[in-house]
Amino acid sequence: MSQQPDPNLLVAAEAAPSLPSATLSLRASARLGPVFWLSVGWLALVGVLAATASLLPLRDPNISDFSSLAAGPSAHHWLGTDAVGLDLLSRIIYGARVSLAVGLFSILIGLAVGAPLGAVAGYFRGKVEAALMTVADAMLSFPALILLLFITAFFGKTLVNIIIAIAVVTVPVFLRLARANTLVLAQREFVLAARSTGASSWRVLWREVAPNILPSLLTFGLLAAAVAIVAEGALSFMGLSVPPQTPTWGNIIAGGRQEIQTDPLIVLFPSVAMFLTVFALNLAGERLRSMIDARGGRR
Amino acid sequence: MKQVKGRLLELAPVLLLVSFATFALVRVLPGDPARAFLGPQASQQEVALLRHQIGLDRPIISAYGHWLARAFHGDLGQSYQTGQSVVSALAQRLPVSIELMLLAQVLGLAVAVPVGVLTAYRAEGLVDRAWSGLSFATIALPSFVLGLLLIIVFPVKLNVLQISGFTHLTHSVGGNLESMTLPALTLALPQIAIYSRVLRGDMIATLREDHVTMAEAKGLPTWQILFRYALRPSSFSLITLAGLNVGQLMSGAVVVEFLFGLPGVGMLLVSSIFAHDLVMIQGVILFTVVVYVAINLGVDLLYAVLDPRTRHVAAA
Repeated sequence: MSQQPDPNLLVAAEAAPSLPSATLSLRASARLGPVFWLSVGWLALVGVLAATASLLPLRDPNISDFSSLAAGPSAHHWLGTDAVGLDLLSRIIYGARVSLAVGLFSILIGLAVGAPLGAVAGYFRGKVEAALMTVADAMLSFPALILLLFITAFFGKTLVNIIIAIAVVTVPVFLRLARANTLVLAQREFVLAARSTGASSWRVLWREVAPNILPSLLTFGLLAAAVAIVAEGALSFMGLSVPPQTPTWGNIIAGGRQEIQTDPLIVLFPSVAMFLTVFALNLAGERLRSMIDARGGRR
Repeated sequence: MKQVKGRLLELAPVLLLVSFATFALVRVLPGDPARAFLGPQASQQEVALLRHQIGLDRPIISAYGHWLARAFHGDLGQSYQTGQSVVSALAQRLPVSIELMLLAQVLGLAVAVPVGVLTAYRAEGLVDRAWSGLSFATIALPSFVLGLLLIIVFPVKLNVLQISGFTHLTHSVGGNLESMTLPALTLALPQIAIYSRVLRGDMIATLREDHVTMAEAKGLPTWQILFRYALRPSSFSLITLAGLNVGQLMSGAVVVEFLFGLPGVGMLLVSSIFAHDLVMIQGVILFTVVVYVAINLGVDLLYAVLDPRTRHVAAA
């Protein structure tokens, strides 16, 4: 996984031309199960902590406590400190800001650009579709991580650059998924009905197609956000994401690597935070996807 | 044969676009890439010479055509950092990446195939459920986290498989395998998780088919039904995934090579990106993309060999 246009992400995208017959209702939410709600709970916890980090009684993530270097968990430092005495709990919570911002914004941008293009390709077919698909295929055959490395190495390691770079990589994936869903949808009765009553193509796309492809795209977005967070983590780990004074899970892990012989906890804590977040996104995404699959049915 | 030609024609525009994008990346960089590489002390002549070498002094289309024509003759230019030709650098690094890929794939398939068959045969059983949870958790581990966890478990706690840099295969076979085991395992574990689940899914469908019932009715032993009758028709998604992974890993497992300090293609790319060595970057990316596309084509064509039905579909 990890690297490049994640084949698993692609397979998931290709396997998902499933269409919900209705959006998720309140009744459905009761049947999502405890695992789903636990996942959402973890994500909400991380989100709230990240958003309110500066209001919480945390130590400054960039001020060293020289009286405790690479120390284990204690009353002063709940998760211990790293090699230069920085508080790990504080750094992990501040690090969540970067991961969540990347997961959220890169996917929203990718969706906002890719989905309309895909719907247009799937609805109008013809030359527009052929051109868009050729570009999408070319983008997908370009190793994603390499593009990310390249952009951050040459255009500067800023959060905005990383978000844009990841968004660019996800555009063709959303494009393909939206197109696949639109192809199926365009044959359905209510779309044909809207067309035969004289609705313009754009109106059909906006009023009939868009609301029906959105749930499965958003669901897929959860899985894609997990991949985006992993990608940023890998960049951070290699020292190619935001500069080290901004804590990220990846650069905390990279920093703890020297102490792995004596102090594996420095690597373990941020790893657990990252793992649980990615796991929660995957679990929630899969659960929603299987529900949408079950409702839309295959026809 | 007709199919091969059709697929190649489809791929041509994709390859052209990607190669052009690779080439154009250098042009959209802010500032003068030649100056960026040589540094502020370099003389005007040196910068001009380098600009000429990379073709920066020509219009982009003509420079691209020139670069592509030379690439067709197996000349991807020279690194302006080390002077080494891109092709020989690739030839030097490729065996490491290929070995890593082979080890990971062999390890992955050797575990995933029996487990996938078993969990399909006893679907929804205890083993199947436990494996499903475990696989799902494994997939959520980023490769660098998984690699570090393996380092904590093996060299740190169990004191085996020390990380002492890369040992070349020609130098010592045992030492080479020791330095490759953890990286290969890091790549193989998530593959085991994915492969076994994918195979399980397809296998459950196959086991419901008539020819399997027929084999059961004939009283054939279970292992023979599973591995001789059901495995082959169930292996298409698995082959697709494995093929995609081969294509990717040929171009180097960037993060894993970085983590374990393996001198593969991925590491070559990372170090040339760090060094802003544009000719090398262009050459390596072009190679990577072509390999990836070619292997995907190979996988597609393999279907026709494995499943005669797809030949008719393609012809229709």
